[in-house]
Amino acid sequence: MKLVGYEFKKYILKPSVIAFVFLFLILNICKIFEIYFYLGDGRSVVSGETNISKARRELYEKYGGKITDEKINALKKETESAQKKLEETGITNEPMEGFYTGYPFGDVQLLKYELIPAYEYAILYSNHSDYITSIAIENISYFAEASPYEAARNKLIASSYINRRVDYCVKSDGFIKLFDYKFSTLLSMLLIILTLSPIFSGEYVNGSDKLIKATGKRILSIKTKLITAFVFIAFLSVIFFAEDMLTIGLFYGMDCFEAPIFALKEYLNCPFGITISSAVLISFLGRFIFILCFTSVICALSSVFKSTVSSFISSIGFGALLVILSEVLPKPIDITNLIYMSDFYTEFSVCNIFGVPVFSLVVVMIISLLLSGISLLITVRRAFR
Amino acid sequence: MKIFKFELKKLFIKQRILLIIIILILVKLLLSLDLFRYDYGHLSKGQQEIFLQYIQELGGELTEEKEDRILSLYSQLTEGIRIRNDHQEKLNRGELDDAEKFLESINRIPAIVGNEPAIILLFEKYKALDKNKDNSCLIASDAPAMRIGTDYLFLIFSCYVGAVIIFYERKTSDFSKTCKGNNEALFYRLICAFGALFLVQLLYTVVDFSALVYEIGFQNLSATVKSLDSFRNTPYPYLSILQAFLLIEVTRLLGAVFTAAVAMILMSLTKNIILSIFTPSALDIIWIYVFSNYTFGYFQPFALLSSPVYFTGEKYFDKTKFIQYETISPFVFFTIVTSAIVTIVIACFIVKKRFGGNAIKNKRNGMLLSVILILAMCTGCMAEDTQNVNSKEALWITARDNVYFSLLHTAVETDSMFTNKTNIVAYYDSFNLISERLNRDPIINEVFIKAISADKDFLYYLADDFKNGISFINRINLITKTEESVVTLDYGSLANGKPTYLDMITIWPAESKENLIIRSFMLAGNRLIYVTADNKVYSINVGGGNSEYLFEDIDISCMCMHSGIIYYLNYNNKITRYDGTKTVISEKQYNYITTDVSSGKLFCSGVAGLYSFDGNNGETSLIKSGDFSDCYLSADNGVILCFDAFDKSGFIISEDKTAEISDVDMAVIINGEIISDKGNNLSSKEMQYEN
Repeated sequence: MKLVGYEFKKYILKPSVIAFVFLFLILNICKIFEIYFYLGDGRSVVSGETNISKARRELYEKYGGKITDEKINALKKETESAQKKLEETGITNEPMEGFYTGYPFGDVQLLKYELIPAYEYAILYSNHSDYITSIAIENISYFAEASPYEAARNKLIASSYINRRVDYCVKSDGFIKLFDYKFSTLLSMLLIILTLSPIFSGEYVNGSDKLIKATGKRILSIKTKLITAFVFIAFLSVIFFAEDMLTIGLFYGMDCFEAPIFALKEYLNCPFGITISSAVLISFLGRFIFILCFTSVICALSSVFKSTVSSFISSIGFGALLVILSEVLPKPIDITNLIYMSDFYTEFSVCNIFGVPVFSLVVVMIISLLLSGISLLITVRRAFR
Repeated sequence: MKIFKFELKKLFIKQRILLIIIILILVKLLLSLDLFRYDYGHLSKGQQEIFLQYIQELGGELTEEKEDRILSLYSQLTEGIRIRNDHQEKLNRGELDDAEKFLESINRIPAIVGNEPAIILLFEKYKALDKNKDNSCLIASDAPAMRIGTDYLFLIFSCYVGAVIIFYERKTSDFSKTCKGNNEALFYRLICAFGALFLVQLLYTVVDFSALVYEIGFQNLSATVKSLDSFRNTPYPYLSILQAFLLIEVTRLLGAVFTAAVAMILMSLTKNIILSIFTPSALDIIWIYVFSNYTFGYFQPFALLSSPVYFTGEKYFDKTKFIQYETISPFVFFTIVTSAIVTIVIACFIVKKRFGGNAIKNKRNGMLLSVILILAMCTGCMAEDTQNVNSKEALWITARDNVYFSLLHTAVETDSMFTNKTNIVAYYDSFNLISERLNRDPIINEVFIKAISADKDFLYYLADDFKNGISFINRINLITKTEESVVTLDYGSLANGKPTYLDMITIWPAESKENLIIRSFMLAGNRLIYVTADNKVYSINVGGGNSEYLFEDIDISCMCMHSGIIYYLNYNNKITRYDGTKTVISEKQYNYITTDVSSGKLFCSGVAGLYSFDGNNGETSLIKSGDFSDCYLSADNGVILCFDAFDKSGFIISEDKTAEISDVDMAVIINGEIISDKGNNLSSKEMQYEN
């Protein structure tokens, strides 16, 4: 433990690293705000909340969450009364009391074209999942002889989509932004390159590798360095993910964590029957596994090169390679897919592994862990030899 | 001189700068391939040729005659479009039901309407020059080579050069200060470092200049920079294209030297090479990632590496892309340049102070770093459109051996989310056996299948996935029943650009959306030939691979193949053949053509009758007279079907005998048999022929 503390002091608790961590945390908030300002309702933060965003917020506060008969009846009643008022007054520029947007037309638009469709989606979702299940069950026998893999795939589909029900009305913007957000992971990658690329090569430059060898505590030293690295990346992952969640939650709003993930319309075909809170956890886990894999490779590169510049440049090269390959590699072997879970939640994506359908998410996680394992093995074998 | 040689060797060989420069140039050459293109590439091939003919005639310096000619072309086009619209309106009102009236009206449309995209682009380019014609040239293409943003590799290289310049000296400064010639060595070292940056920039400039000359030609280099679309709003209209290009490149070099200077300062103060390379690179990359959409993002000297921004002027539309920044005034630009130069001088001064002469060792001046960084940063603070299926091409019954396939469109009304399901149904033998759906993926259920075709082992289908914006052709293996993709075109990501490389770069397509929607297809042996919505024809191996462009026309309909030659009706409804070159082979206009593969005959129909025609010269022989302009044709084994899908009636001709067919939704000839579809039920019809 004492050694870990020394390693921390040597590589991580340096003013430059601490300054960069703070700077990147601030930049991360700037980026989230930039997305919010550019694509969301962000302008209202600067110019004051608009009627429509205020009305939307109030309506979701009132009707969002678990759908009950009372809420349905109240929604119907409010829509009818707004519709009636609109027919009486027509479209008017005069603001009126008792309307969320200040105008009957605005209320009708919001209720009829936003909230009611959200309720309809939730209530009718079971039709969709039942349809998929019935087709998949039918397909199992259809493909039984001609293609056992397709039969197994349909069996997996049937078991994934069976008995799905949605009884929540969830405002989805925040969760979608969170699952699709990549910038904080890129910042973590940069910090890891800065701090961990010299973790082994630095010792060669100082000549202290010979000292470590001479003391006979080579493995202990490697273990200490690896533990230091993993504690650091765990800290980075937690702090950046927490910041993403808090900031996105603050700007967009996030609730109904207990609702199923497919309660979000964008994840209509999500293959996993999990709750939103589990989806958030899996999203964190995905990013952590990616960072773990990235760090392992950086450590391996650091143990291979005997100059800090070479290990630094090769680490940047590896990062750039990952970014470039993200456009080329098929999804199940592209580890950068773990950064953003949206694709895994949107599509039913499976791989044919020896005739067995396996979720792409599981495959890419296994590949990342394997790559981490191999990199760690290289590190242990090569460092201070 | 000896010291200079040593310093050269130290930097270029020992620090591997030479090797890195070679790699950089190779990468630059590879990445620059995209620069060698014309910005009128969005026009179809035919239109490009027409546009270039106009530019040949009217390009270069504007004269009054040329202006008159452009204006006259444009007014002719406007008049032509008016006549075409009149014709369309009359057609919609049903005033052209009579064949003669129709032909008379359509023949009044002037041929110049066919050149519409080319003339409009020409006129747009002319209009952009209109306000300031002095020394303005009408140039065919814009210059992507003058719009290149930050090159990340060059940025990191600049940091590297700045940091390694004092790599050895960082630990030996006390010793070197006592050596003779230390100042001289330091001077040479700086010369070598800036020389390396200059060399790279020079090589980059050569590549960019080649691209520029390729795009606009030598003769236009002296024209005002305003002649280029992207520089229409430039704050420097008095510059020529060549001058603007050189200024952009010099500014970029200044940006690189500034970046190297910042790295040099960091290295001098921290003696940590990684921190010195990392800090300016990371800050600049992140700055671009976060603030490149805003003008203030360019109010700092690092942005000099994205030099075109300072010269292009106000935000503009670049075809599909909306560049999101405003004019950066010459004063702000001058201030940024000055601050960069000041920083470079300060950097040299610091290096000299810390590593040169016999200076007494200074205390680490943390304040100085802060001041310089603040100075550098302060400068930044100063200143669904869906394509209609052509009904006459969408024959949705096909067959293989004794299995027939058709499409079954259904809509689930109870749930607005899940409508538009299309299934491919297979009917065996005598149609009363079991029918099955072949497209069975339970998840993909919102696709609209437009056409199907079968060969020995596979059933191919063309579909649109409106939700995901994909147009694709898949094939279903009829033995294993599994499905695989043959060609997939993604038009969905076009509207807003496609974020790539983990959202670092947004790709804006050079192709139009229409080029990514497949309208129809046909099988030709082991090739699959398809037509896109903008009438381009491609060929692809049925097993997948890359599509090969074949040809294009203003309009292509009723495409069919006979003896390896493609036949189709062009925009004028004349039969055209493609055998490597396009040839119009008919004088008359027709409404439908088809081929009978088994008997090797070609048939066409129109307002005057049904004919067979010779594929070599287009000579026709009448089979039956009458107005068949609303009918489609189907032919196989010597049997010809002529069917009106609106009236739901038609006739069949076999060996000079005729039979009427009615009361079915549609019909086709397969293996010489009439296969009809009524209420989604296929059946084989026994025909009673009359002589």
